[in-house]
Amino acid sequence: MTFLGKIRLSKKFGGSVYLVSAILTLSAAGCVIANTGLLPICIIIKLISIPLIFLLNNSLSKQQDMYFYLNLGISRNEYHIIPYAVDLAAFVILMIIACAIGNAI
Amino acid sequence: MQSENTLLVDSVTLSFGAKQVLNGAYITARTGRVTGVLGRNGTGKSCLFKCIMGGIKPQNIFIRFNEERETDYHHIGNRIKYLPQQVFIPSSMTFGEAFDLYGVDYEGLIAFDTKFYSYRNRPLFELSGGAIRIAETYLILKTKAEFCILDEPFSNIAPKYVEKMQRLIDEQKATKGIIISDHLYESVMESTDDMFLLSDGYTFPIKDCEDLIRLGYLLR
Repeated sequence: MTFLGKIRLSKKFGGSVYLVSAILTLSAAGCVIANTGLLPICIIIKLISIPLIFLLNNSLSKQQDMYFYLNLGISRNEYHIIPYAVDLAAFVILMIIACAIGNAI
Repeated sequence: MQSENTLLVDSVTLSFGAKQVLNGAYITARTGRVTGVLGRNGTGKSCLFKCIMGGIKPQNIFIRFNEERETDYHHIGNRIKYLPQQVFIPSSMTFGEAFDLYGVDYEGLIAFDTKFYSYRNRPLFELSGGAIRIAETYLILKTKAEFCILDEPFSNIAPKYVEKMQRLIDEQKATKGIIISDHLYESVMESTDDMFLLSDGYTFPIKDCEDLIRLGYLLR
């Protein structure tokens, strides 16, 4: 499976992570558009939320589900890291766009 | 992919704190043969399989495919498919989606048992544990791989399906090496060509029931 394929598949195994993170990221983007000075606080909140979401997701999700994806050739590290890496990348991109919009208006 | 593949898993050492679960356990498998793994509850059969798949990180493990010098431990799933004891298809998924992702034709499962005709797009929580077990075992056996590991495939399924599964295992071993573990040791012994017993963290090769009695797996 290609790396892009693994990212696409992460929608399945990281769905709940993406959902919770999307709410946080969109809220942060809204705040930054309204006041770009809030960017450092949003970044700190985001960085704090990652381990919290990780712990919550690990304690609530079924460990057996992981083997479904390991069988598809995804490593244990990829299973745990990909959703957070994609989410963080999306956060950074969205913050750059939000800052640009915030500065423009 | 070679027509005949060999798998060697050796020196598996696993402990949880002071509890030593596996102590240099080993297992071998090859195309055309079914390898059985027996052991009492808590002797580490499932842990051994999970260590192979990378789900549990052991203190030590050595895996070698064929005569290859290097093994990609992180992506073992590309070469070995594993059926865990519990339901492993995510509950948010349907059989149809799971079969598509694994590249297995769902029509084959319908041919295996027609009751699966109406199950294709139904959520997993609506189905019985036995039906899920049959579909999962079929999925693992039919997925393209060099080896597959079945952890208790005969649990929770009717005798009729145990026989059908044995036939499917017999058919599939022509193209892959199969490792199987179950407490229904008679069904396992019927299906296997090689046997191992896990006891006190060590692996013992088994030839017949006498060995199982001698090693304390059976009373008599």
